[in-house]
Amino acid sequence: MRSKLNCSVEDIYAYTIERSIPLSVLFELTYRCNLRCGHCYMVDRGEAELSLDEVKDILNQLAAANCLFLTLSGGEALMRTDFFDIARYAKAKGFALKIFSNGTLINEDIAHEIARIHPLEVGISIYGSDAASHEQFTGMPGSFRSSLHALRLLKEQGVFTIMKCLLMKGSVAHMNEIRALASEVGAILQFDPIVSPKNDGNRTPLQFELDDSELHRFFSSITDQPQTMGQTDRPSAVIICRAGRDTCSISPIGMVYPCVALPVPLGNLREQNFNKIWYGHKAEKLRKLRFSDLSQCVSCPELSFCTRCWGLATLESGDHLGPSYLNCRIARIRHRISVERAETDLEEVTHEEALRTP
Amino acid sequence: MLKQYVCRSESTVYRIINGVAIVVAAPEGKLRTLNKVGTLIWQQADGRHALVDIIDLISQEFDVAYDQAVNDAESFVQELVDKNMLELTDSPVLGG
Repeated sequence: MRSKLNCSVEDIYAYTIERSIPLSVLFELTYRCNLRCGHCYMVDRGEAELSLDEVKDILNQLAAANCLFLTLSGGEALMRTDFFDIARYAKAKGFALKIFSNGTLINEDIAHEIARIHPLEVGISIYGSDAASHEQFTGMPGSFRSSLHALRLLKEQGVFTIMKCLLMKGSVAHMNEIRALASEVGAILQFDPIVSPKNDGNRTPLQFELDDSELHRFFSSITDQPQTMGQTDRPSAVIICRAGRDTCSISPIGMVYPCVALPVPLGNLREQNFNKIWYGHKAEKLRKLRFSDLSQCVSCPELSFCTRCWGLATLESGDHLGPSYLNCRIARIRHRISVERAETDLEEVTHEEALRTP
Repeated sequence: MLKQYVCRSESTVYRIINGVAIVVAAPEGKLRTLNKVGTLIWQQADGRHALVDIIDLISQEFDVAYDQAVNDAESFVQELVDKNMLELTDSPVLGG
């Protein structure tokens, strides 16, 4: 009768993937944002965003479909004046909530309200180690101080906070300062080295992407994980990723996507209910894809160093089964780092042996 | 403990998938699954049921000796109380 504590999360994920249960959903509540980030992937096509009643109806459908993890995001989700109506409703429907925000609208009262809904985590975006480096990307003076203040306020309220740091041109050199900043505000730091095109394929954000030497520096700094992905060859039956299998995203106008990074529309919740979309023809077709369908990637010599994202591949070339040039670059760099480390290890061993030689 | 009312903590959320409760407690965020009996206790832990009533239900639903059910249920509930996932009250929780 005892609880199976620390049970295998893999078992749960295997079950939800096998049964296509949408365990995790990211819900973009609005396109609106008070920042003007040049790297933002969102494209506002001017359509009316979902009303509170529409959002509540969708949350009912997601709960019935057994969605457990719900991330409320934007734009800037707190731009919606009904944000807490949505968040409290979601909480009452039994979702494990995560909130992504830029933090600039979070004052003491809002931090308190957030704490009252017991989110699993609140992720706040920070792009640099100081105001100048952060605000060159956000375009809003004072945003660095406001975002950091939000992290501190949330921490004081006992909220688990994540400092989400998208690494862009110039910021890799300041990773240590950013680490110190996260530590100072009591947040877990998550670096992300991948700048993606906008959702319509517009490549403007790529002006901020890391060059090869910056990617090398970033991946070299990861010393607690191997550069390889743990698989030297992926059997043909292996699924490509969890997008559309136990996770999906919903846009501010109700469009369902397999993932926030994969702009392949599955259907609109203003026209069809969630189950009809999720178990519909487009989603099922996507779920049938296997790694063996990626004709170029499956025979690539860098395969074991690659974290191929089919969203990136789609945005870069329009071909969701083709390679992603950024993932290819990263795989080559991780391979090089792996070789460099092996050579360093060999040199150290040789040096030690020389010392032991009488 | 037997006469006390069992209530799920506000910081927990759950879903029943394949007859099994999958529970997440904030802010820790760790997923936990409960077995069939644990799931029944969890579902009944709405603040309106005393533990003794839940044990009666377990005895009806599962092939288990009553004393064994009492011991297991008490230790299970205590374990989750210690983890701030369940709460015990002396009277029913209004609106629970």
